[in-house]
Amino acid sequence: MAQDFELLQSCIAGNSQAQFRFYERYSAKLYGVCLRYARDESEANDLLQEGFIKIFRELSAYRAEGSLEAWMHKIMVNTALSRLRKKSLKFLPYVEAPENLYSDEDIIGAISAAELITVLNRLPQGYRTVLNLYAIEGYSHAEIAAMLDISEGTSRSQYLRAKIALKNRLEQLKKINDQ
Amino acid sequence: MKPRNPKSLEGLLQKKLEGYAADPPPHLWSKIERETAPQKLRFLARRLNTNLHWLNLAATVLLLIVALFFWYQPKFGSTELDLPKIQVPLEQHIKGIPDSIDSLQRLFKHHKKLKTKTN
Repeated sequence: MAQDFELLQSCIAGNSQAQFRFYERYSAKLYGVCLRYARDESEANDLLQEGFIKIFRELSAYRAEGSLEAWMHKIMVNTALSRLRKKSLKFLPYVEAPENLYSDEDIIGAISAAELITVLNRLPQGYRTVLNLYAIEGYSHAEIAAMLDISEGTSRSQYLRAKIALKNRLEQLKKINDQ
Repeated sequence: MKPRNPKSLEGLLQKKLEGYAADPPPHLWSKIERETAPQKLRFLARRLNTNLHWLNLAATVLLLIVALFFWYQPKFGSTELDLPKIQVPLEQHIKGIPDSIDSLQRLFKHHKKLKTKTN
């Protein structure tokens, strides 16, 4: 714990070696978050880079009230969202008809986390963002609406469509794997 | 992350992706380091299109070369002028010094004549 505090202080002081050790310790987990929000690896790299620069610049403002990891996680999510806002997030109106041949447990249990990330990456940006924020981060639709500057209804409908699209793709993947 | 019902799709997704980690590409750190470095260094690194690691290495090598230069040239930087020393034989040296007051007076007169001639 004392070592963590020392590392944090050295990072705030601008010690490059300490910052590298800090990066080595947390980059893999935060890169996992970036991969969920990004369209591909190149976008995830940009997100991680931008997020870490923000983290190092704002580290002195961190008030040790919550966990450091949660604080950094939030910075990464906010970085991803601000990028999406710049691109003007588009929400798609179409709905793919669900087949529902398998249970949720069957389709999610059959694939690895990396495969799931790949499927998420192929979803349209609006679907992916709302799905990430609601299902994985655990935000409410009211919170998502405020974050993305959309109505609560849009968030709700986009989430339902995203859920159907994800299920369909996962079912297709399971079918291919079963054959 | 706020926990969702573990049996629902949201809960299953959360469980699967919670703590998911992947190694970022190794070149990413140098980009981050470049952006978080002091402004002057950042500018130089961008200008030279290099990362800070190579910039530091180049500065160290340059410093080492300069240190070695001073180490092997101890006279460099001293205030004494390193002019070639003219060796005058002792006899010639003695000849140049006037041996009496008469000869000294003669020498002065000779110099005076030379001066008036040139004027």
